[in-house]
Amino acid sequence: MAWHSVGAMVLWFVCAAALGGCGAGGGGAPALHGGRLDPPKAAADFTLTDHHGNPFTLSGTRGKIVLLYFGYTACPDVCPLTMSDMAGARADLGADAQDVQIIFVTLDPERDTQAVLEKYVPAFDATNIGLRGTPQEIQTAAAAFGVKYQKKALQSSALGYALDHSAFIYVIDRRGQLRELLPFGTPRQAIADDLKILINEGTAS
Amino acid sequence: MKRKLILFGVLGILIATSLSACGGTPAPTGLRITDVWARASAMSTDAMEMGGKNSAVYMKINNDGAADKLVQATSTVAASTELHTVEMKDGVMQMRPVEGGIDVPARGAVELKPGGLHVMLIGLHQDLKPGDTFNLKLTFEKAGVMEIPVPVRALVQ
Ligand SMILES: [Cu+2]
Repeated sequence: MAWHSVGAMVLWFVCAAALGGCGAGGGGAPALHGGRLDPPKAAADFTLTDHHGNPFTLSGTRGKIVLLYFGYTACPDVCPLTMSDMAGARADLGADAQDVQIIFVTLDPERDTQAVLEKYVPAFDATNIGLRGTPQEIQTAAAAFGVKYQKKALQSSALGYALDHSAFIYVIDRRGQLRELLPFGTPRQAIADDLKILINEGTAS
Repeated sequence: MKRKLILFGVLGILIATSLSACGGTPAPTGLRITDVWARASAMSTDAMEMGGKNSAVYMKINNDGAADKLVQATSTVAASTELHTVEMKDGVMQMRPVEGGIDVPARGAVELKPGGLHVMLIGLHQDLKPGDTFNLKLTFEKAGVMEIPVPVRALVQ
């Protein structure tokens, strides 16, 4: 169900990633680490509900650099590792950290109630924002970024079910342009380096 | 007859002494567990909810002997303790229980690390706070049961 209609989007991202990988560092300026979108593309917009229960619209973060991640809180490994690396990278920026917003969108609204997000998301960084919505709202937001996910029943596990999901960090600049996709396992230092590049661009276009 | 027994006894003590002198922790099996840690729990357990009350334990299992297999892990800190793995398939991360146990190669090592094999703690009974230590029991097919202390690391270092 969640797999459909994202095929073209994913293909496009993969191409972008491949291009970003080989087209790096033309003028000697530091280059972003992930799959770069060249030319950048306006990030899709969505409105979901934040971990305090208030409506939250992605485009409301203009002026800040956004690290956007889709996951689920019952995940013990991939998600907390990524959340930890994003929070660590932000912490490494010192005063510039105020220009960076980390956003976690749950793909598991059934288990990830507002109360769960309220505890989980700020545990990594007090400024983090956690988002949820109806399954349909989440599906729409995820599809807009080419996130693939699917609920998978695990008969032999007390977990009950897992969420198979793509695990990119979507990096959006101050003007709302989607600039790159960082694959799972991108080191904290590389995330911090990329944030510095985008911070130094300032707000000018 | 009696003298023979005494001789064997003395020999046995000598061998045991020399073995323990060079070993550190007893390793009749050839297994050594290093680089052990668990991730702190993101949520305090006074939350009624299930989500987020999970964690993972990582380690390196070094093996100086014949091939073995980690077949089970148990702990008292969580309702369930399971062996899991994560694999990337078609650009998607998939976490699955490990069927049949984790192979420990002869004269080699297997690493449980983020983004791959892990011991998953499901339904924590207690908060895992940085600096805490708890015990984990590992059952190997040949080596039997080993109990190891697991230090807890902060969510963000
Ligand atoms: Cu797991």
